[in-house]
Amino acid sequence: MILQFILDFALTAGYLVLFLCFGFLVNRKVSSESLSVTCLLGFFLYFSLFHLLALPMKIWKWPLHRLTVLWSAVVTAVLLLELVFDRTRIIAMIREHLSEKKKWLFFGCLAIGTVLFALYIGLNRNTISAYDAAYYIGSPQSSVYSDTLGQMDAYTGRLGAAARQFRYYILNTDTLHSAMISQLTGVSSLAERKFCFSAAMCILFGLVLYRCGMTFFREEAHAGGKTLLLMLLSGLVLMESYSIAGVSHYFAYRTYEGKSIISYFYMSAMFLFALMIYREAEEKAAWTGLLLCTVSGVCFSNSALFVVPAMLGISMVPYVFRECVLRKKWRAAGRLAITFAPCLLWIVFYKLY
Amino acid sequence: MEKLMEYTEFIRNSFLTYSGHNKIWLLYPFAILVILLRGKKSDRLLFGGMLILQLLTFCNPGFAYLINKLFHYETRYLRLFWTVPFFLTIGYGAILFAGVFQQKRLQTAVLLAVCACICVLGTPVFYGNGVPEYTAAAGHQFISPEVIALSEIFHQEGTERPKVMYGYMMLSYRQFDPSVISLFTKKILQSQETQSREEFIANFTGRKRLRNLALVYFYQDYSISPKKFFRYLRKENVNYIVSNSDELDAYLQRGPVSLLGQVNAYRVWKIS
Repeated sequence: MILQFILDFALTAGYLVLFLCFGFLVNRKVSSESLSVTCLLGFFLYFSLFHLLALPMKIWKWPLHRLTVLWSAVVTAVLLLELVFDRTRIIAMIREHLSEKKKWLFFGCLAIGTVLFALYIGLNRNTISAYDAAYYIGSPQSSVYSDTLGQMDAYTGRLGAAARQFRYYILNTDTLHSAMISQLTGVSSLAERKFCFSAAMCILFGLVLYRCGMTFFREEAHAGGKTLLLMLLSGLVLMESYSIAGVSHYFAYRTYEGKSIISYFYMSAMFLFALMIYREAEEKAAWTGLLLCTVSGVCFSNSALFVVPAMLGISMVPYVFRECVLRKKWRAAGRLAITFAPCLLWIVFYKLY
Repeated sequence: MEKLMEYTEFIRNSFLTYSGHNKIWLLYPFAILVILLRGKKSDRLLFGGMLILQLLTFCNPGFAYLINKLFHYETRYLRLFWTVPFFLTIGYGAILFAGVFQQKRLQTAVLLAVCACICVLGTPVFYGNGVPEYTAAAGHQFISPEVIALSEIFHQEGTERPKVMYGYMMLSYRQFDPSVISLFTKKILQSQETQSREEFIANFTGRKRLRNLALVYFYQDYSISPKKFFRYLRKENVNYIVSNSDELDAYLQRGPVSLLGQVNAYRVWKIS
């Protein structure tokens, strides 16, 4: 059992390292100075690329092992690329972040707090939603068992009987990601979803809250302290706002489910990117983040088909209005149109398929 | 006018379902007000702009009508409320509000008062009436011990891909062990939840023998003779039946079955 837990912890840490590596890949273009933004961008790039690779394979009904091999090759290539070309830059960036003792202490406390909270959430067995859990965990388990990409009915275990389910969830590839990880590492999808991925998502969500604070209180005195306070207060509000259809419910009980990830993580991350644009802090990284959100959102849930463009419009239209109408700068409108394009593409694809 | 009222009510109900009547939402307008008064220019544009757009779009009955007509969102409409970053807004508003005061002690007192308000008004996750409890995973298993024990029983005879007749267990079981096939489908399980026996019979579109098996299992319709019941089971290639009712046990024992194992309230019957 201890060995299994060690493997789970390693997988959780592995996820974060992978996201960071993919983030450095984006960072070559957007040159963000923040490790947290880099990690978040890495997450979105990771799932955007995975989605673009896995979706055609799912449509063509390829076996799971082929996806595992191909995606492993992509990840290895990215890791090698980073190791060979970006080694010095990465080390310098990490060194710079941890150069002061005060920063060490701050980041250390924050990291320990977030990890403990992630463990608390990850070790909860009561995920309430029996039907959804049966799909979100049953589907990757079935894919691994049958070596298919979602061809086995998650509820009954019959091969080829999942045609309707397959069609309805055609755009959702995160269950295939779980299956692939399970096939590659030997960690069952049950543990991978309920513990490893949940804990990783909690830590990433903590990063979003942290970055929101650092952006809100940028160039202010005691920015670190205020950020910590914001994290505590926002976390408290979230954990005190229980309702059966609310974000708190999704975050606390169903952390690993696709639609939960859209509700608490994507919405908050998109808000963060919008905030960065409004505050003119690393705008290029923020626009890239928004674009990657619109590409990868549908990989988690069909709800992303309408919630992600809604969030994009609601958060960015006031900014674009100010830029275009009041400042006569049309660049923002073009960027919004480009960011919006993947949403349209997914909607059209879903309607036509 | 009627449609306007209907969709105003629809939006209201969607929000109430989403918020679950949680009083913590009372803090949201206050936080927005504080941000609009005390926040930076960009904050006012972001929070104010988002609020105006939310009110004009998915809080607008005309928009709700149009969206429902085009995309049939209905119960999913409330997911549009996910776009309200309420926890960040309340958190940020509280810090800005505390910043009104110059003295550190007063700031601390204000923040403590805000925390108290959040705790008093809110409903915490994992705790309280009607809130699902926190259940810590026992060891490395993230599923109930019953499922693990059932799995051992199903595989004790070495049957490859056993086909099992079980009800709600199908939802949790295959998360742990995907090698088992369930006789009943998700559709059957969901149908029997909401339909009376007569409605179930009238609406059932699958094989007749599957319908009859479901009638016995879910509706305790023991008018179907055990002989027929077991004939249907053999045609469906079912290996095991999981029962948690004494009546069903008594019914099954009138046919060719033997008790393979027992886990708490569940008995696993093997069909000879």
